[in-house]
Amino acid sequence: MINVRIFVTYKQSVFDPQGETIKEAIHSLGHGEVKTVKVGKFFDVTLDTNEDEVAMAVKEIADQLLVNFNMETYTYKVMEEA
Amino acid sequence: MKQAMTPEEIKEKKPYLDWSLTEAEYDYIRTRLLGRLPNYTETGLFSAMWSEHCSYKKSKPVLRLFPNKNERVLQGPGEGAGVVDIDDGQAVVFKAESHNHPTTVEPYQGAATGVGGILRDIFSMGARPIASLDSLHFGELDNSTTRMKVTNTVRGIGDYGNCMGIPTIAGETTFDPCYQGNILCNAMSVGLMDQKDIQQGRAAGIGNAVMYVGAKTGRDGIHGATFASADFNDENMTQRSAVQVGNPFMEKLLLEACLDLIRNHPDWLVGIQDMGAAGIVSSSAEMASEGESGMELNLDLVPQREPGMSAYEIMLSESQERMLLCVKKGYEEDVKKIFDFYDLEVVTIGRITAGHDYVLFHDGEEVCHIPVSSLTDDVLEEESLEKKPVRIELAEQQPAWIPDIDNVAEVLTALLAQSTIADKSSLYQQYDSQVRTNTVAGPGSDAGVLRIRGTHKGLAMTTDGNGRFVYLSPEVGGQIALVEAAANIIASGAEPLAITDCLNYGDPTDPEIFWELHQSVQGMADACREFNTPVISGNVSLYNENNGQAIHPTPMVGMVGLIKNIDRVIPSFVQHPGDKVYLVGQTRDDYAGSELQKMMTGDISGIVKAFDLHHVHQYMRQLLMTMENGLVSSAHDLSEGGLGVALAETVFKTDLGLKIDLADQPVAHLFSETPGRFIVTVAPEKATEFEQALGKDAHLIGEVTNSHWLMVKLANGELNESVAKLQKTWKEAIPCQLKSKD
Amino acid sequence: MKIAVVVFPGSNCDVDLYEALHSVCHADVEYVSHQQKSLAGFDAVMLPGGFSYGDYLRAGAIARFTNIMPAIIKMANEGKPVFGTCNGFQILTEAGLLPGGLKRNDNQRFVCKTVPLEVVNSQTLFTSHYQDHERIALPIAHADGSYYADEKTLDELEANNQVVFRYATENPNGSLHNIAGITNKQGNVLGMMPHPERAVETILGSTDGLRLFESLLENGRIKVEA
Repeated sequence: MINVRIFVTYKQSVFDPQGETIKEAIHSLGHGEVKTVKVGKFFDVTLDTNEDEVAMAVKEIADQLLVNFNMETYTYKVMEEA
Repeated sequence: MKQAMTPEEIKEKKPYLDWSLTEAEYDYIRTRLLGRLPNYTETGLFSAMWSEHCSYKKSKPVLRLFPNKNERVLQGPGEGAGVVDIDDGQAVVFKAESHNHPTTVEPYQGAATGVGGILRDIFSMGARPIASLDSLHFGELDNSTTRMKVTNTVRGIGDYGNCMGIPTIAGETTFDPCYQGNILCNAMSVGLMDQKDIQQGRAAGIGNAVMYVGAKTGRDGIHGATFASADFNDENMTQRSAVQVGNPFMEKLLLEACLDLIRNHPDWLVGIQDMGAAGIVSSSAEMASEGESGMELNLDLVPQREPGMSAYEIMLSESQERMLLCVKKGYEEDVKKIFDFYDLEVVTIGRITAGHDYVLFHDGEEVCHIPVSSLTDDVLEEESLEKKPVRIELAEQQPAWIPDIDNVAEVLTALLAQSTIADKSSLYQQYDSQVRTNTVAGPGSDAGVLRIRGTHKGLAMTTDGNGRFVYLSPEVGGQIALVEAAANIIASGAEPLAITDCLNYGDPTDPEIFWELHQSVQGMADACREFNTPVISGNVSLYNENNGQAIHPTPMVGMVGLIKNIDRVIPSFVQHPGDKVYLVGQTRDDYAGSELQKMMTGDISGIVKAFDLHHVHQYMRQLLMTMENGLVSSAHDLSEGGLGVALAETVFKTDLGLKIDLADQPVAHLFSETPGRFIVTVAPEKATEFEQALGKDAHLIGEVTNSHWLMVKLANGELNESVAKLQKTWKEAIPCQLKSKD
Repeated sequence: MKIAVVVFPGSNCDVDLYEALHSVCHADVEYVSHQQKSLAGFDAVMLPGGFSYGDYLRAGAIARFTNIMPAIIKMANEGKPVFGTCNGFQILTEAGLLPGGLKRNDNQRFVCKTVPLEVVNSQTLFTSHYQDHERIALPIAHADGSYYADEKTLDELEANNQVVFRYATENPNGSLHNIAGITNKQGNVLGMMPHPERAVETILGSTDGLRLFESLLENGRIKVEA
């Protein structure tokens, strides 16, 4: 089994009010050194396949379903087996 | 699977005491009901089913005071929800339930699953839910904990109700320090159905199947029922595992599937019930009890979300979005096809048997074999001690507090900014109030009003219950709760039909609190009889205490009324310049427990004076008749803040104003909270007829103007305020407090 | 003219749309399940509001993989009227039948209220009974209604007159260019966040939405008979 974690966030140009609000809350806790906060989501996906097929599978899944390319972008990484 | 303790160990170590079963109850069960020692699973089941939340053992003696029937009631308490005839072969179905403890601990999910739970009660009767209402009580908004809880509770209600596509059209939200550690979240649901489809929660017919449909069972909410029957202390604040997580999407599918089955294939179904508090055990035992049957369940067949669940956990889990069905033998596959269409899992988990035993198998072994009635009908009722609180004895000796009002404009403005009175639209606009396109009057009106498509009828609904009055004078306070609900219903032009209730009180083992419960229920019951609005369903939530501090006794009355002709629905806001303004009902010095008293003195005190319930009912009936005869333009009932606040409220959201003469009244009367009063506006040509109908109970106090000003002649001068200015204060108070950062 | 109102798992304003067409406009309308593969026999298709698939993943993201979607896309490509409100608009953008996307409201909350709108383009088959720049008021009820598209797409929408409704005095969700509703280039697919089907009867508060359905029924009929 291969464990993949796919991270999806808004594109740079898209206004992220949730991130802004959270940043302000962090500032009110006294951490002015925090400059930006961006909110995203991640999907932990386990695949029963070979390592060299993972990239293609992730690309297709991300392209067709997990990511809305109007507004979002993604990266992923293969997780170490526990 | 080996049980966690042997029967002998249970007798020795008494783990049941942690589950809120008393030693006396345990002894009664083992000696009188079983004749042997119960095992671990059985003891767990008894603890849940004998809890106050499931058995009502302490409250039943008091609940018997309520009238439960009249000529329209088709189903009273005892089923998923109550049912009332509304003519044309139709029925309205409604009930309210509290979810106080879960909402206090985890506001978002607690509130969301509160909504989910009550919806299932409605569609288990065969009715489609058509509206939701919520009665919410929080601590003051001056601290970030309360602000967070308010924000998350509202979000929880909105997310669940909006996803279900059921409009939230009415409710109330109040703020008082007594609720700081114990939020009250009472969810009410109203459904509509044809009488021929009415369902019951019974399981009967030897060999018939017991089928489980919906979400898989996990470890959610285990001990939720006993959790709700114990006070909070700081230890309990780590009880987060007892809170359930809701899935409104699944519930929407479940709703459609169940209604499909009930309406199109009633001959396959013997009974249906939702799995709520104490999950499988309470629904299955209650269904067997109602059917006077025996039942056998195989827990290995229950769909499970987590591995290694014990029999006890499976039975007590409060995983949401699950229903239990009793299906005629031979129709199991047909039923499965219906649920398959909605992508829902349904499985036969047991059968109805001969006799009256409740038998469970798990891992191939029999883990429970007890009489059904030992879980339901045989629960020992408890007598409680009662004592009139010392504070009330003392208050009876004190002279009544009369306020000294200097600057009426300042007082009125300050009252409009009090959180309980201020505009709640920043909260209720998070609820879809229009979905299904039947909403005639939404949040912000005296009552929510829906039209019944395909007829000329409408339904009005409201939740009301002022805990301060009940705290000071329980019996009169109980009467006022009912009268206030009836006033909101009648103000909309509807005839009160019946009520549901949530009785939210502190620890009943405290004799003063039990006295409050008893007295207030007596007051409510008397008013129910006077108004012919029986209690058709309801819920009791006790032990709302935090570190020894109890909430104000807060009975919530959820009332539904029938509008026979929806064209005669009455708005809460003034309509035409030139309309005459009447104050219906008498005003006295009633300041004890008022918003004014709280604001000016920082606390509430005194005795709430008795009033003539019969007389109030009489003129309210007269008022309704004038509405049905088309004499009334608008009506708004008076509540917190009295006449002053009501005059402002009735012109908000319009561009009209009022010219009022109260020079013959004491100035303080402007903010007195005498119950059963209305501001009614009437077109000049209808005034004579209106006055004839109401007689001495209506006082002409002024007229509606077309300038956006509130002009009131007072005994000590004049009030001359811009409505826009007052409205701004009223509108900004809550958003401003919620944004606060301290 | 025969109209289909598609019902997805979790749709809940299907009743609103159906009743507006059936009871108020007396149109020939039918519910069609997402499980159907064909819309043969229908002249127009409407996607209602609600929470298809619970809005899980993203609003409308899963609904666009249902059996019925290819038939809806086919209708759009054939130039037949396709309409989506709220969740319907979200599904149309996810399916690529309309450009851009809808994200969470700026204030992060669900909002239900009536808002003033400007009719920007009264030349479409859905808006011919309105006037250009006319002010109307329609209810909104959504948590994910903030319209987003990149600069290039926004410029195109404006240049091609694809913006049909704009939020007037206040923008309730942060939509770029105050966009409340758009069509595709051809003008036969309309998506909008406000709910015109909730404003077709006086008793419910407003009838400003009625003319959208009247326009559609009149122009749709002309198309069918053509």
